[in-house]
Amino acid sequence: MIDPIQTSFRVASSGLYAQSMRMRVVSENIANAYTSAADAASDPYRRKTVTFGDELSRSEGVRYVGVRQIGVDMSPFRLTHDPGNPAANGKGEVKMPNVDPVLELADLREANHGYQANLQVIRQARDLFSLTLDLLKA
Amino acid sequence: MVESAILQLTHRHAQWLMARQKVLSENIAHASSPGYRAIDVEPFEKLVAAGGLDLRATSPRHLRIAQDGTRAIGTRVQRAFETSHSGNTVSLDQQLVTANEVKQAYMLNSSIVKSLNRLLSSAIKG
Repeated sequence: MIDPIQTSFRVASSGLYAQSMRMRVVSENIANAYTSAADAASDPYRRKTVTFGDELSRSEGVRYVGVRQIGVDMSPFRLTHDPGNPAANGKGEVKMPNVDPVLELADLREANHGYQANLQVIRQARDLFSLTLDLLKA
Repeated sequence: MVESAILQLTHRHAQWLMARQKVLSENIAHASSPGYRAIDVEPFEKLVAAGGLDLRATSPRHLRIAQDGTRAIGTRVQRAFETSHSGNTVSLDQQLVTANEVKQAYMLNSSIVKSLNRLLSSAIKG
């Protein structure tokens, strides 16, 4: 009967890992929100995205969560007018990363909620475990 | 004996609660997976009505049978509470509320087993 609790721990820890990977990518995006290219010919930083997916363990009959893919957002870059910039083109426009800090912060908040919910699962599994152990006490 | 019947029922209930805890943790871990549909275990009433021992298999591959010979607890896709843009139907709030229900029920269950133990030991000791 303890086994499902152990499984619960493992599934929740896979969730913690996935959400922390998401936070890592979001922080990468935020940190590079203003990273322009070195010259007009090359592209600036492109926003990264994370996709989660199932990792089915047939022997245990459990569906863990994992990072399926870290991709890039192919939406167009923002153009700002900054003629003094070394990366400016002939019209004085500079290509800036396609990162929207507000969107990233919303994503960060969501990852935070997911992380907390997984922590709550671990807490609860621990409580159930100790309730079971308490049965041994007279 | 009434005591053994109660013990059997609490044992089955605890198994069901554990299966539910496992399913809940899967749902919560998949709260951001695209296309994931939240699942839940079958109701306990249904499990009790099935008697738990009615399914027999001649090969372990025929039917899902738990290790102790009782019927394995089935799962089903939950009615979608809310569906996100990615097709995910996990609602974290709802899952956490259900998790709390599981904990309360498990506390009740273990208290019943404890009091039954007390009852039996006082009967033995006199």
